[in-house]
Amino acid sequence: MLVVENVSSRFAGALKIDDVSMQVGEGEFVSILGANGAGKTSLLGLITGRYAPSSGRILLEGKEITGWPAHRVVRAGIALAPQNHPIFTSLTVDENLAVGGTNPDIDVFALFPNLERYRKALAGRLSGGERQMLSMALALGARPRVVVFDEPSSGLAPKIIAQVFEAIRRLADTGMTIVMVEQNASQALRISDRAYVLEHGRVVLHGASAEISENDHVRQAYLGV
Amino acid sequence: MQLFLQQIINGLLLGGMFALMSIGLSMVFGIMKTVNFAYGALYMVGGYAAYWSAELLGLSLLPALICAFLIMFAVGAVIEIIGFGQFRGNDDASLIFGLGLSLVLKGGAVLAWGSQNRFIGDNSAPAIELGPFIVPYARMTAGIASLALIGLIYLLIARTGLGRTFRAVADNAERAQLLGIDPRLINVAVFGFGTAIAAVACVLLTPVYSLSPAVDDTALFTAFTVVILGGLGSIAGCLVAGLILGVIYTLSFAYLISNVAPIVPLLVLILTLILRPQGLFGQKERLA
Repeated sequence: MLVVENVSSRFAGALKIDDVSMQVGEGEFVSILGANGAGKTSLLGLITGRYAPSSGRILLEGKEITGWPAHRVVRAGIALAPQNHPIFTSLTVDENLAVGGTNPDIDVFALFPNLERYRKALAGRLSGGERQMLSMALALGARPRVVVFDEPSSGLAPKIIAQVFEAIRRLADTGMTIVMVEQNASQALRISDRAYVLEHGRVVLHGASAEISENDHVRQAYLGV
Repeated sequence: MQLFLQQIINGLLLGGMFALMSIGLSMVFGIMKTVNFAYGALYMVGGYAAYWSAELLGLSLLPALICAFLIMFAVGAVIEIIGFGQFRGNDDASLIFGLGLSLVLKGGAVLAWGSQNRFIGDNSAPAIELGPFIVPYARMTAGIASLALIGLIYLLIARTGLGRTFRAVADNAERAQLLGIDPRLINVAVFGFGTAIAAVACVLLTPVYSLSPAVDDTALFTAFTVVILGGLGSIAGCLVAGLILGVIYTLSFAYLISNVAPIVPLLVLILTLILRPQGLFGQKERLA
């Protein structure tokens, strides 16, 4: 479904993504783990068209989308729910969802029941958790074939984090292809099928999430075991 | 008391015209964050587009106005594509481009069409008596048409899908792009629409103010005053600020020495900026 082939990219002169390759199959749920500055968000930026890679290729269903601008990548079928849950704060929740588009396959209010009562309220009045849910709903409205979540638990209370991960897992169960960058490695490994571990812009480990969570280096560096 | 109420009526009609004159500038800033110093010149060129459509094609006011709208939409779109769009993110370059374009358009207008005053439509219609009040026909139709158009523009922005997309891009262009919206296309549409609205304003106001290459300075100055007072990017702010300035303007001329009167709206503007720098309806973060 999604193939990243030997992609490298420099940001402000420094090599942030170094010869990264990864594959995501249809219906798979893949998480990307790593410490701060490992290049996780940069890699998502390359996949979703926010930046163009210096070298390498990105393919979606066999079609090369390398260097396409973000709006074209969305139309091709990859939608991103960015870090820090940006939404349209001056629009109501319903208007936000209308801008994102309507996905007939997903009932966003069943997935995120908290949003239902705020439909007519300005999105700027939502709490952090509700903004995250709305941001994810926006991405889903674009009818993506691959949905990408960047740090969905960032800055949220533990109770909300559980709801967000539960929603992502339910999405995965519907067969949606998901790529998720997440600092909360234990949760990410618990709910994803496979994982890639990035360090200094390179993939140092990848495999089934269950195997990755048993890896000594991962246990020490990311799971605190 | 009758003089006072007469001036209030005159001021509200004038204020409606001020507001319409300013709305294109406000939209372009609010959605694209572009300060368009060529706005006054484009307003003036829009007036000539209608004037020459009427003269050369023998059109009456309304078809000439539609012609000017379409021509200036295209002109605005081209200017955005080859001009402002190339300088996005570089405010200095954008500002200098706008000033340069303004000079070129004004100089070109003087060369091409001379500096004499021209009129579109009928400016000889008699004043209308409304009870004890007298309102010049041209001023009344221009004021009412301005208010009606502002209402339509508000509905377009607040109630339609296109308006919602405009507002989303104004709110967070990067997020909008991540939902498949091409911000460059929206910018072209907004700049074209803002320029076309300026042309409509010029056509409606020409029976009152006449048309010459010099109207660009008046339009630019008025539009900036209204937009700053109302709050950058706010259509409601444009309307309220336009009405306030219109009323202050007419009252000043009615009750003060004529040399002092033009200063009063500026004093109000300065006072507003001291007390509320973001303008009446502006948001603080927009000033950052």
